[in-house]
Amino acid sequence: MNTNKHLPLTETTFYILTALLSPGHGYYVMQRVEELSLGRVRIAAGTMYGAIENLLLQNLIAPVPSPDKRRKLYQTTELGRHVLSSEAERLRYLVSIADRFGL
Amino acid sequence: MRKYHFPFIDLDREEIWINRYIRQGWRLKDVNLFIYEFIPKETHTRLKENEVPPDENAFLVRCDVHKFDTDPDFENYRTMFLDAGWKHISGYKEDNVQYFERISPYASEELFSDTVSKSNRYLRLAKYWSCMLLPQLAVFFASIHLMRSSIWNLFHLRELFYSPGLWELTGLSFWAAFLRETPSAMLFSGLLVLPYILLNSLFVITDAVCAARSYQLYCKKKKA
Repeated sequence: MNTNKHLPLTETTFYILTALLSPGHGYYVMQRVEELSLGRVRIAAGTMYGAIENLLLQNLIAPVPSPDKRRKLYQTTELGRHVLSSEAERLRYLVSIADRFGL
Repeated sequence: MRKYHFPFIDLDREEIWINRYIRQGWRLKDVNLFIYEFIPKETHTRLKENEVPPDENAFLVRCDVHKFDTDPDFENYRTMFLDAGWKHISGYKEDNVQYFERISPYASEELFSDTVSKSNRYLRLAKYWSCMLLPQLAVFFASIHLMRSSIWNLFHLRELFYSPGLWELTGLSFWAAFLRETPSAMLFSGLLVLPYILLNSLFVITDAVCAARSYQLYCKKKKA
């Protein structure tokens, strides 16, 4: 699976994909991202909706059946997972370089 | 209270214009092309249980640009914004500009948290106007093609009056015959298409100007 064209991920995308490893609707993702980033990253509603549309187009997330008619549920796809782990690997390497130079 | 304004393309300016009234104690109730209807904030009904008292930025209005193919998509969109503290005020499913008011003090003051997603609104607007423009442009060229014969008719108006000997008549009998023939002559000349073409060109120009302006704004705001 070629994940290179998706890399590097923006911070927002990284958080959204991570938050959607378990299924959730739009507002759930907004809350989860805030939680994961310790309140540092707050995605506004309009930005969130655009991001979801974008990730759906790129097949990084997919809709899953929702019990709530008014709220769609999304989940990170297999491709999304691969992209996430490639990104994590890339970041780990960057951090190891930073460590080596004593930053 | 009703306020009128020439339709905006620059959504940021539209938000500023609307929010001036919001800060003066009004709430936006509905938007209809160029008619903005405001109601006093006091008529506010409680939207959620245990609602905290509104702060100074309550009912602030922000615009998004989206259109939807299906009702569930539209419903999902509005529900997500409502969950985040933004109530949908105005805008139809097939429309493009959607108006929201800030009903929760926990909601952010902006609908967008970065400049890229904020400027993408203008890209969607530009796409919308281009989609409107294409069929109008097709109609425009088709009618110009049809009109070519009518242009020729303009210089041969006499030939469109078919009554034999019409032009030899004089006085009242000439005018009576002339007026009786005029409607059919008009019909044959194809000149009746002219008002339609004028209307069509008006649409073409409006769509083209709006598309160009939204794209220009997109490029400008993306860099800001």
